[in-house]
Formats: sequence, structure tokens, C-alpha cells
Amino acid sequence: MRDKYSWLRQPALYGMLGIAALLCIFPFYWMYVVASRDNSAVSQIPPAILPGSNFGDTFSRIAGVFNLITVYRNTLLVAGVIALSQVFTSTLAGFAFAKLRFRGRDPLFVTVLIFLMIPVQLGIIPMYLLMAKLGWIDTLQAIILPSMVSAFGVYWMRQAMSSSVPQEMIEAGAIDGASYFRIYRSIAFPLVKANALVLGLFGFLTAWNDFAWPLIVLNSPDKYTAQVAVSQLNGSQIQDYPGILGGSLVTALPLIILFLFTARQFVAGVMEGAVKG
Amino acid sequence: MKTASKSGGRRETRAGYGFISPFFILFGAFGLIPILFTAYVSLFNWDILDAKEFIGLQNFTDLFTDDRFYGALKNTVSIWLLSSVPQLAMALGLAVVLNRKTLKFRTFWRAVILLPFITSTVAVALVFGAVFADHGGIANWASQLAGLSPIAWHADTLPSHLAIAAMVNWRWTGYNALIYLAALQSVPKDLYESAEVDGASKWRQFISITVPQIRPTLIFTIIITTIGGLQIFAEPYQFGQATYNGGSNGQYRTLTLFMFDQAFAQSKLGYASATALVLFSIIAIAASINFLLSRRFVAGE
Amino acid sequence: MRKIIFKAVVTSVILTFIAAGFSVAPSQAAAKKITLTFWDWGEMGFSKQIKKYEAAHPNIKVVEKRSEYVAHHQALKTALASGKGPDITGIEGSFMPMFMQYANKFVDLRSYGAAALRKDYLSWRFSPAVAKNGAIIGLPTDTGGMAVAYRTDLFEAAGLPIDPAAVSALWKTGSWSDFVKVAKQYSDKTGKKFVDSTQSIFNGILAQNPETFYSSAGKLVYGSNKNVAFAWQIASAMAPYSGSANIFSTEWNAGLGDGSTAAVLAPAWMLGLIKGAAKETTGKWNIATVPGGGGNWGGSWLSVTKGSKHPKEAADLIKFLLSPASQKQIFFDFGNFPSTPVVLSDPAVTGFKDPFFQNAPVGKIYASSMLSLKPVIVGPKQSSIDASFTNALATIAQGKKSAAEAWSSAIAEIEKNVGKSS
Repeated sequence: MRDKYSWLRQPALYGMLGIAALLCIFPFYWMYVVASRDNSAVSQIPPAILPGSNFGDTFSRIAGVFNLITVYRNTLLVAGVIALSQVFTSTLAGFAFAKLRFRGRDPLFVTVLIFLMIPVQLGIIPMYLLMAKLGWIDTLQAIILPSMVSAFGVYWMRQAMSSSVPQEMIEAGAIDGASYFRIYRSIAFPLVKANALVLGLFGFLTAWNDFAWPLIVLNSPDKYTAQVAVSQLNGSQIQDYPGILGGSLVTALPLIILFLFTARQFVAGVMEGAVKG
Repeated sequence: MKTASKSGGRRETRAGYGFISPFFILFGAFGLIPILFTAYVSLFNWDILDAKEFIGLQNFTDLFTDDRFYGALKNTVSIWLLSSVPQLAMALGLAVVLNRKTLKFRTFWRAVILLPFITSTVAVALVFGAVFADHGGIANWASQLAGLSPIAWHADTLPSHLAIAAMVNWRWTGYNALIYLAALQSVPKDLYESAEVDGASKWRQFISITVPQIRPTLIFTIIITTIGGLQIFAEPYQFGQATYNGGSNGQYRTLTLFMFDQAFAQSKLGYASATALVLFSIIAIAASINFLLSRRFVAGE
Repeated sequence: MRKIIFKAVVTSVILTFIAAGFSVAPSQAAAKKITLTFWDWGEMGFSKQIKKYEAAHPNIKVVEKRSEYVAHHQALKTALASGKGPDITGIEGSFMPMFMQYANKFVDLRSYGAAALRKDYLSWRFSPAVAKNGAIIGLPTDTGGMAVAYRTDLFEAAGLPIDPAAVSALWKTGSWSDFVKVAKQYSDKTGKKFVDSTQSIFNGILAQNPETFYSSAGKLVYGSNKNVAFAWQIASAMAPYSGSANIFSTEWNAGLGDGSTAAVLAPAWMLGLIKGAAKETTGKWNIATVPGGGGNWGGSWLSVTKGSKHPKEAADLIKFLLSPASQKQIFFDFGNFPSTPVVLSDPAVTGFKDPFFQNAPVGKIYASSMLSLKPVIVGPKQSSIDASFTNALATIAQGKKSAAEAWSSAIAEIEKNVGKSS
């Protein structure tokens, strides 16, 4: 008998996971509860636990304010392009910073870190002025282009490349005469697939949830992304809580579905990495 | 591991510059603009529609004698600590649990913990606002059931920080857990096997094998949470019902909230830009300190 | 290497232009149709009238964009700075003085016949949108005349009269100080708060006085003005008997319905809020007159920005939405109170009774105070100064500061944000 607490370990573990899962899921469930009831359910004490019957009404109200399909399409496009672009530019740059030697490499990397540290929230104003000059107000490219690269992504991928890609493999490839891009593509990238996937997922999710900038730049409902659309359900002082919460739930639905697919991929990719390591 | 020459051959050098150029080009086009703008405007008194008035460093001297700045700084540090330390600890714990080979339903658990990350901030704010209302609210209801007196989550300083930290932790713990999980997965299994053979307890294995092996990732998350934590904006903004004052007495006003208040509510873009630059310096200092501390205390290979 | 990079960047740029392609195509396909962008901070009462207008003018489509109240005005400012404003925008009362400084960024509605419309509106509601050079940059929406909405059931339980005339008589002679006395009496008896917030009291009293934060010469007088001092004195006296949640917040909304609010200082637009937030209390409210006499709290304008590509159509739409006939309809649909005198004396309006408020003649109550008002002097930093004062009052209600401490910190903050008071 190795460990006298082993009998306790299993239930304790699952218990803890169960609580964590509950904490994560309960707000979603509660959003559905309020969306299927009415305004007063938000502040009800004891809290409203059971769903009501109004979800159909709420849903038609939401659908009346924005076209779900258009919103999904816009947000998917924006988030997808941003995620792909971030993954590509970050893995490339991360590879270079981690594995290639060139003059000024380390100072350049420090500047990437510095970029990461600068508060950019005030940038909304010059960005808007710039977009106005370019004639890109109320376009999707105004949302996509400023987010196509990510300093965080470069840091993350450099980190991943540095720890997962053995220098010898690169040197071997170079000796064989492969171009560095070939080395990157065939040797380095596959070794950090899991990390790249995680980065892509996070970039996608961040873009999906972006609110402030799309709201100020987009004017037409046919361009709205998810968060902008949901915010249109706001009354001026009268809030439509079921609408807002229901809208958030509905716009998060594709994400949840995306999730269920990438979760499986993610597990597979990560397991692969584990076996190799 | 480290080669003697700093620069590789011409091919390697060209590849190096070439590979980092997409990042720098696109960043130079769009990412640099807010930075340059902020630095420039901080030397002026400006409100967007008016003409700019050059006042040199006056914004900075005003800032350093402004009580509200120091108040916001305190709040920022407090909220940052409350939301980063427990969060990373919980995330690491979760990752260790999720890493177990014998875990059932692993895909389910791993997916579930990311759910908070995909919720919109507006919805989260409503949910947590209902939970942490000063009068009524689920948290007070629960505490009353437990026999405690109700807490003024919005009116009092520390409770407001706890509520906001709860919001931040709820959203980001799963995210960090997945990052740690990715790192844990690449720790060579044979290290653990030989430790088992030697009779090391699980805790001992954790301290002596796991932590050093994932040190780079630990440092990474610490730096990222430092940078992000000192800039927390959305949560206190929504907690105050979409206002920039951070509570009636600024009790949960963070530095970014103060920055927004000065920029958008008081139309003092120059002052706000100065705040942004000072905040940047604080972040740089804090991140560097954390980096050095992590390197020292987490023994590497 | 460079080739690869080049390809990559080009691919990304192409991808984004494909995305842009999605954006460009649809709007061009719908040629001849004029789209008017309309920026506001929520339902301003125009949605039904807009639909009517679109039905009558099939070539016009109105696209509304809602932002949060402060964010809306900030976005408007930024848009004006870039020359790309919306066709139509709402501007709220406390922000109008700020935008008046940039009147040249708005279309002068005199080019579209606004001068002739002036007589249709209450003069004090019309003039704040008239620039020094006579340009008319906005038309008024609604008015915010004041009354006190109270819960008859809660009053009864506390031994107070419930008939509107009797309730109004409670503070008829002594006015606001009597109001405070009644609040104390209620709270002492029942242990509950009397009003929803100190913010409403403060703003309500300010609304009853022409000169508050700014003098008629445009100087800052917030620290010395006796009207401000009086409003502060009463609001801080009311602090122990007021809710402490921010007005319009979730908690505030909840307080309207759960019995923790017995009386609300209610401009006409507040009635709709009460109804929306406290549906289950229908029939339990009535309306009494406000202490201190008539005043106006709230009200906005609709303007056309110079960035508009269709100023004529935009101006026509505004004129329609804010015409007396339209405002009358909006009153019945949404409860917003008209700013057009002819409607105010219309028997259909004055005879209007609202069952939520036990058939109180809301039309008559609010209309009577409107006609005799004088303009309130507002200045560019109005909302900032107001926010500092109301936050300070909230700290008193939350028990964090004494009235004197709160006053000093409010003044200190305003001095930093805006400037010293004379």
C-alpha cells in the first residue's frame, strides 16, 4: 500500500473537478434562466433557478434586432482571419527568435515584449481617425487588420519553439541544405502544433468577444460582429436583461460548438506531443 | 547549446529577418500608431475637437501630485494581486489534475473550464453584478444563510476588489490551466518513473520535477498576468455599470479606468496619455521584477 | 525567404479584402435606396415613428446604432473630429453645451426650414441648440418636467396619506425641508429607505433653478452658487433615507420593484422606467406634485452632422420625428413628454390617465409645469461637474463620508477636472 490517502484521492479529485465545472457552467445556465423569464429575474432573491417559458419571445426579440446568420458570418470571418494570421506570423517570428541567430535578435525580441506592455486602449482614437482617412469606417477590414499580429503570440510561440524544438534537428536540416522556411514548415511547426492550436483558439476567442473597437467603427447592422449586435439590445435606461443575456448565449453558441470539436483535436495533438517528449 | 557567434550565416540571417518581418511590418502599420499617438499627445492639452495646446511635461508633474493617481495605483495593485496569485495557483492545480492519465471524461473537463473565456464581458458583468449586489444579490443571500451580515460589495473597497478579482479569475483560470496543461504534457514521463522507483512522494515529484521542467511556462504566465493584471479595465468598468469612476469614491478605480475617465469623460486626452505612459513604465518595472524573481526562485535545469 | 514573406503578407491582405468584399457588395446592390444612420443610446421613443416614416418613404432606410450613454457621446466626438459623423444623432441635455462649442460640425437646420419651426417648441427647450451666430443645430425631443411618484401601499403602511392632493399638501408650504421631514418620518416608522437615490433629489432641485454650475456670463460658479449649495444641503440631508445604488443600475432597477423605494422624484421619462423595472407593482403607485415648483430635468436634441451625405433627407426625418403630431403619438406609445406647446394643451394629452399610477392624470400634472419655465444655464463641463457631485452624495448615502467631507472632495475633484470656481 503505497499511499494511505489513495482511497480518498479519487472522489476528492472528481469532487473538485465537479465544483470547478459547476462554477464554469452555472453562469451560462443562469443566463438561460433569465433569458427565458423576464427583467425581474435578474435581481430575484432567492435566485431564480428554474427556467421560465419566455425563451421563444426573447429569441424573436433578439432576431428582430439583428440577423443571426449575418452576425455569425461576420464574426466567424473576422475571428477566423485574425486567428490564422496571428498563428502564422507568430509561429514564424517565434521560430526566428527562438532558433535562428541574427544580429540584433535579442534586442528586437525585447521590443516585442515592450509592445506587449504598452496600454493601447487610448489607441481607439487615432485608429478611428486613421480608418476615417483610409475610408475604412464601417468595414470588416478595419476590425481585422489592426489585430493581425500579436506580440503575445510571438512571445508564446518563441517560448514553445524554444522548449519543443531541438537545436540539433534544425542544424541537421540546415546541413542537408533545406531552406529555413522548409525547416520551419516540416520540422519546427509540427512540433509545436498543440501550442499553435491553443494560440489560434485564444486569438479566435478574443476576436469573437471584442466589443469596444467594433462598436465604434461599425455602423451598419449587416457588418455587426457578435458583441456589437448583442449591445444593440440595450434600452436607454431600461435594460432588457433577458435580451442581453439571451443574445450573449445565442452568439456564444457557435463557439461552444467549435469548442467541442477543437477540444478533441487539442487532446489528440497534446497527447502526440507527450508521447514524443 | 549556445553557439559562440551571435550571428549565423547569411542564409540564416536573412531567414531571421525575413521571418520576423511580417510581424513588424503589420505591427508598424497598425500597432505602432496608438503608441506613437499616446506619447505625442501626452505633451499637450487636447480634447479631440479643439486645437492642441503644448504644455510639455506638465501632465506628468500634475499626475504625480494627483491623489487620484495614487488611489488608482493602489487599487490596481490590489486587484492585480488578488486576481493573479490565486488564479495561477488554481490553474496549476487544475492542470495537474487534468494531466492524469486515468482521468475520465478528460475532454469534457478540459472544454468546460474554457467556457468562461468565451462569454461576453457584458453578460459576465450582468451575472456578477447580480451576484455581488450590495442589497440583495446572491452572494449576500448566501452569506446571510450562513449567518453573516451582508457585505457592501460596491461601496466598500476590499469587497469590491474581491468581487472584481472573482470576475477576472473566473474568466482566466481555465485559460491558464490549459497553458500549463500543454507544458505538463511535454515533461518526459521517464523522469517521473525514475522518481517513483526512488520512492519520491507525489508532492516531492511535483516540486522537484514538474515545477522546474515547466519553469519557462511559469515565467511566461507570470509575466502575462502581470502585464494584463495591471491593465484590468473591462471588469471594474462593468462592475460600476458602465461608468469610468470606479465606484462613488473611486474605491475600485484602476489606472486604466482613471485613464479612460480623463480621456473620455473629462476630455483631457493629454492627461490620459500621460497616465498611459506612466502605467507602461509601471508595467515594465513590475514585469522585469517578476521575471527576475521567477528565475531565481524557480530553479531551472 | 523574402518571397515567402511577401506571399504571406499578400495572402493575408487578400483575405481581408475578401472580407471587405463581403462588406462592399450588398450596399452597392441596393442602389437608389438612401440609408440614414441614426446614433443613440437606447430606445429614445422613435422606433414606431421611424417605421411609419420608412413605410411612407420606401426609398429611405434608417439604420440605428445604440451605444452606452457616455460612450455614445464620446464616439460622436471622435466621429466629428474625423469628419465622418452619422446622418442623425441624439445629443443629451447635459452634453449639448459641449457640442455647441463645435456647432460648425453640425448642419445648420435653418437651411431646411428650422427657423419657421421654432414657434412649435417651448422656447427654453429650443434655445440651447441655437448657436451664437444663430445657427440651429438641433431640434428638441422631449421634456423632463417633474413630479413625485409614490407607492400608496407603502405610504399607507407608514401612516402617511395616500390621496395625491393630501400627499402634495405634505410639502406644499415648507417645500423641500418638509419633504426631508416626511422622509425621516417614513424611515423612522418603517426602517426602510424613502427615495431611490440622492442623485435624483440633487438633479431635481438643480433643475428647478436657472443658474447652477455656470453663471449667465459662462463662468464657473459651482462652488459658490447658492442654488447648488441648497440642492446639496437637501440631497445630503436625504442621504440617510435614500438608496445608494447608482441611478439606472441593476440594483437601482431592482429597488424600484422590491419595496425598498417608496417615492421617486420622477421626470416624465422616469415613469416608463418605473413601469419597466417594477411591472409587478402596477396599480400601487400614484403621483403628487414636486416640492419647490416647476423644473426640467432631461431632454435631448436630434441633430444632423456635417459628415452626412444626405442632409436634406436627414433633416426631413428629424422634422417629422419631432413634429407636434409625432410627439403626441410618442407620448401615448412611450410616455415621453412633448416639448411642443400645442400638444401640451391638447385635451387628449392633458386628459390622459395612466392605470399603472392609479389613473393619475399624468398629462395634466406634467403639462402644467412646463409652460412657465425659464431656460436653465448649462456649460460645457456640465455632466462632469454633476457626476462629481452625485458620486460624492452617494458616498454619504453609503455611510462612507460625512456631508462636509463629501463636499470638499467633490470640490477638489471638480477643480482638478474642470477648473476653479469663482
